[in-house]
Formats: sequence, structure tokens, C-alpha cells
Amino acid sequence: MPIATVTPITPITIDDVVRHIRDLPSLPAAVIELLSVMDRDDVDTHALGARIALDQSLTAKTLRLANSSFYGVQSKVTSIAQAVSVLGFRSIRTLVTACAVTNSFPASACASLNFQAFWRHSVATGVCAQLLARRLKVNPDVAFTAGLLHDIGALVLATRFPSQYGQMLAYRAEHDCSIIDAEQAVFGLDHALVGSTLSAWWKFPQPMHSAVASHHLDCGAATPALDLVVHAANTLAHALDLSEVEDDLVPVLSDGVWQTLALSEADCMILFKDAETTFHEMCQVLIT
Amino acid sequence: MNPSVQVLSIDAVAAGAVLAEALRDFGGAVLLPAGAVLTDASLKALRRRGVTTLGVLGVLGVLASDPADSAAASLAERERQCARLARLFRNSDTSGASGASGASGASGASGILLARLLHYRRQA
Repeated sequence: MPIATVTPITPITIDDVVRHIRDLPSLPAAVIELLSVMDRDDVDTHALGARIALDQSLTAKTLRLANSSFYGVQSKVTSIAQAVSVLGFRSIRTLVTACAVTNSFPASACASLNFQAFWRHSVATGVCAQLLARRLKVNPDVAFTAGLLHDIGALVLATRFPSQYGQMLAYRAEHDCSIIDAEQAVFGLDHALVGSTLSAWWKFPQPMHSAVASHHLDCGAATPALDLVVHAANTLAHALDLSEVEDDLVPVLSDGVWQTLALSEADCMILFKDAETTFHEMCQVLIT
Repeated sequence: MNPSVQVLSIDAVAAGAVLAEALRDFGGAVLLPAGAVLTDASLKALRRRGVTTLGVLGVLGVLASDPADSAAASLAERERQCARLARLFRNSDTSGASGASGASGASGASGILLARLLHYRRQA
């Protein structure tokens, strides 16, 4: 990244970032608990249902998901208990986490960031990660959540440093470069580093922390499977044009990741179709 | 097919257009029900009754129903999608995508992904 060696235009240090991250509301205890047991199935579903029922917007989203055509239920799902039986505990756990994190960043805090497009891309990456997960024996729910949260550092930059963020977007548009290059040129750090700092502060499980930190890096043989999945999912989400941003740019896909995934032409056709279909379903539930 | 309702002068409506809502006379009696396909004869009859405008469905779809036109439209749509992919991948060295197999090229992975997506868009 040659641009990174130039002195940043309005430098932000990691200490600035850490100070601002400390001001962020902490995640609800229930969410931290859910994140930490994401790959376990022996969790009390009744307790989860009771927690969801206390939160109106979460209840509405859960019922909307259960009633979406994706699950093909004939009769209407009207209670959380019913929704748990339709969706399964794992989907609901993913939904709860997604909502809690989404709610930590109000759209009003940064005028220059296109929040709608941001969340569309996040959901798209989550969906792609979930679909790719099984190929690399990664838990699909962990993959979805890691994909959904992979750009979380961008939200910290956009909401805590709004004017500099606007400058960075202007730089990106002027040079038609990647966001990462523009962030390096303007801030001297990028959203992957900021995201990994936040994920440490919020005590994300280690594999998820690593995936957030490394989703733009080139991947080698020693790279953890979840990192590979999120890297590929991020590229695929851009390539399928799911966020519908005119000047979107597909990041370079790591050759190592591609070889590890070993997708045949037929696999790809199914993957592209499934990604598009699932994405539109999830958007109706998560982004409204 | 454009599902929106378009209110057009009766002279702009061609046979084959579909009525968006029931057409009633001043007394409220239904002249033609919603969904009726207009014919030259029914258009002539409506003109005789003094009807000047009609709300019709999917006019664009009807006008483009000539098979040659819709083939041209889908070809144009595919070209648009291929151009869009080229724009999205403008930052990648995708020399691998130009070959028939898409498997060659220095920066192979992005090139193969682009080739597969082109194939996917073409067959859709």
C-alpha cells in the first residue's frame, strides 16, 4: 500500500480511537453472553425468549423473520415461543446480536456515511459468510455474525470523527481508490484496525476479533478458517453488487482463499443465487 | 412488465393494453371490468361513448411484446450488467477473466470470480 507511507492528511491515532470507544455504550450483558457461547447449542432457550420479549423492537423483528417467506410457515407466527420453534435458537441468537450492535450506532451521528448502504453491505457479507462457512467447517452462525460486524470499525470512524470521515470519503471519490487506501491516506489507520480495537473492548470471542482485524489482509496457509470466510464473503458481497452503491469497488480476492474454498463453476452458480435470495430476505427483516 | 397504472389519452392506448380499473359510466354501471384486455373494437366503442382517458396496466410491457423488441431489451440488460461488473472490478487485475476458461492470468482469483459472475449474469 504505497499511499500509506505518505503523511496522513488529518491523522487519527489509535489512542484517539480508544478514547472514543470508551464513550460508546457497552453491549447489553445478554449480548456479550450470547456472543461468547455462539458455537454452543446447550443454552437456555426460554431465558433467551424471555429477554427478547422485554424488547419491543427485537420482538417485532423476530416475529417478522419467523413470518418471512424464507421459512415458509403456513400459519402466522404470533409469539416469541412460536418464533423460537420456527427459527431455531441459533437464528434468533444471531438476530439478537445483530440488533444490539446495530442499535449502538444511530444513523444521525454521521451525515456523510450512507447508513443504508453500510448495513446492506454488512448483511450481504453476513449472508455470504454463512453460505461459505460449511465449506471450511466453520459454524455458520459465527460466520454470519462475523460477516455482519466485519466493518464495525467504519462506524466508529464515521460516528466519532464525522468531519474527518467526510474528508476521507471525498478523498476516496477523488482518487477512486479503495476505502482502506483512503483511510490510510487521510487518517493513517484503517477501519479494520479500529474494528479490532472495538471488538477487543466489547470482548468479542477471539475468532471473531481476528476476522474483523484481518478481512482486508492477504491470507496464507496459517490464516484461521473464519478469517478466510469473512475475506471471501466481503469480496463476494461487493462483487454481487448487493449494497447498490454506484462507485462501489470489489476488493482484490486473495488467491490463497480462493484455492482453499475450491468452488467449482456449478458451486458458484448456486452460491450466487442463494446469496442474492437470502440477502433480500434478511434485508426485509434487519433493515427497515 | 411495468405493473404501475398509467393514465393515458385513449388515442395513445393500443389494442392489447390491460385496463387497470373497472371503467364505469356516469350511472356507475361497469362498461369494462378491471383486467379487461382492450381490443380495437372495444376502443372504438369507448370513443363513441365519449371516453377520453384510460387507466391501463403495463403499457411498456405491451408495447414491447414484439419478440424482437424483448430480445433486444434483454440483450441490452445483459450488456448493462456486464458493463456494471467491469466497473465493480475496475481495481482488480482481472486478466484471467478474458480467457474462455477464466483460469489464467497473474492475479487469478479475482479474474476467475469475475468470469463466473459474467457467466451467471448471462444465464440469468
